[in-house]
Amino acid sequence: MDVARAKTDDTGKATLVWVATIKPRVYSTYLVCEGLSGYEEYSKHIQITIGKGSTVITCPYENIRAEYTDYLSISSYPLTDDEEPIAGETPRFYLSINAQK
Amino acid sequence: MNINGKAEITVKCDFLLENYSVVVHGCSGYYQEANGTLTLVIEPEKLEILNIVITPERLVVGDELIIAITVGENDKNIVYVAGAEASMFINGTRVDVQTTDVNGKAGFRWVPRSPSPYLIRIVAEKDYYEQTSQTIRRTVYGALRLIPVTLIIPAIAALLLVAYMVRKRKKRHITQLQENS
Repeated sequence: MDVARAKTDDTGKATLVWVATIKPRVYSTYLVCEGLSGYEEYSKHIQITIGKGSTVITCPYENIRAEYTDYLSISSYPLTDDEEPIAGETPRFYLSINAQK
Repeated sequence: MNINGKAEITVKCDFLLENYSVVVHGCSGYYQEANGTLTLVIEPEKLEILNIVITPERLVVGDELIIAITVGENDKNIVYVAGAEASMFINGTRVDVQTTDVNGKAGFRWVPRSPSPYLIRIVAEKDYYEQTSQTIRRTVYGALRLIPVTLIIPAIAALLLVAYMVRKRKKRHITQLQENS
């Protein structure tokens, strides 16, 4: 997969700013200099590890009282460590008495 | 989970009355595991006698008193409670027990034997529900009744007949006395 391209600056440095939205795992990455006039092609292998994002789950109501047979809505907000909402994930809700599910 | 990152579930609290912990567990391929915890206390639902109909309005000894009740939950939306035990107490003594049907209805019948003011108490109860009751005061009157019209006419006719016969006999007696003199 061709991720991105960057051009060298006056100091000969090519910088790539890339948002890692691919699945967290260890990736083998190749930096390739190619198609340079007057220079041979060169490639270098590096390893990039994309870790899972940190999350915090907040519940707006932490103490709920309900009466038998009532219908009750329980909400939760998983957020990233930057407090950004996370859409499209499915948290599980477990009910327990004395820590037994 | 929606676009704002809010995940919501709706649960019917028809499990045992207890204190529960709700653990929200998030885990996916892209984010680290995280837990959120909240406490949930399930309390007994409150029963309510939604409707009570008592007939007749005026109660006389020997008449049958009929009480019809409807039992439900004391929530905004009407939810009838089936299988509740409904009891009728007269002056503190339980005289009848009924069970509410699917529409929360139950009925009682009672025939008072003596005139008196009575305290009638209806109690509805069910497991996991808070008991409810209603007390009504009713006076039972003595069995003094008006004579029916069907009896009045023959009675008057009989009286008139007796009066006519007495008068006729008296007349005959006077005639006989006159003849003898």
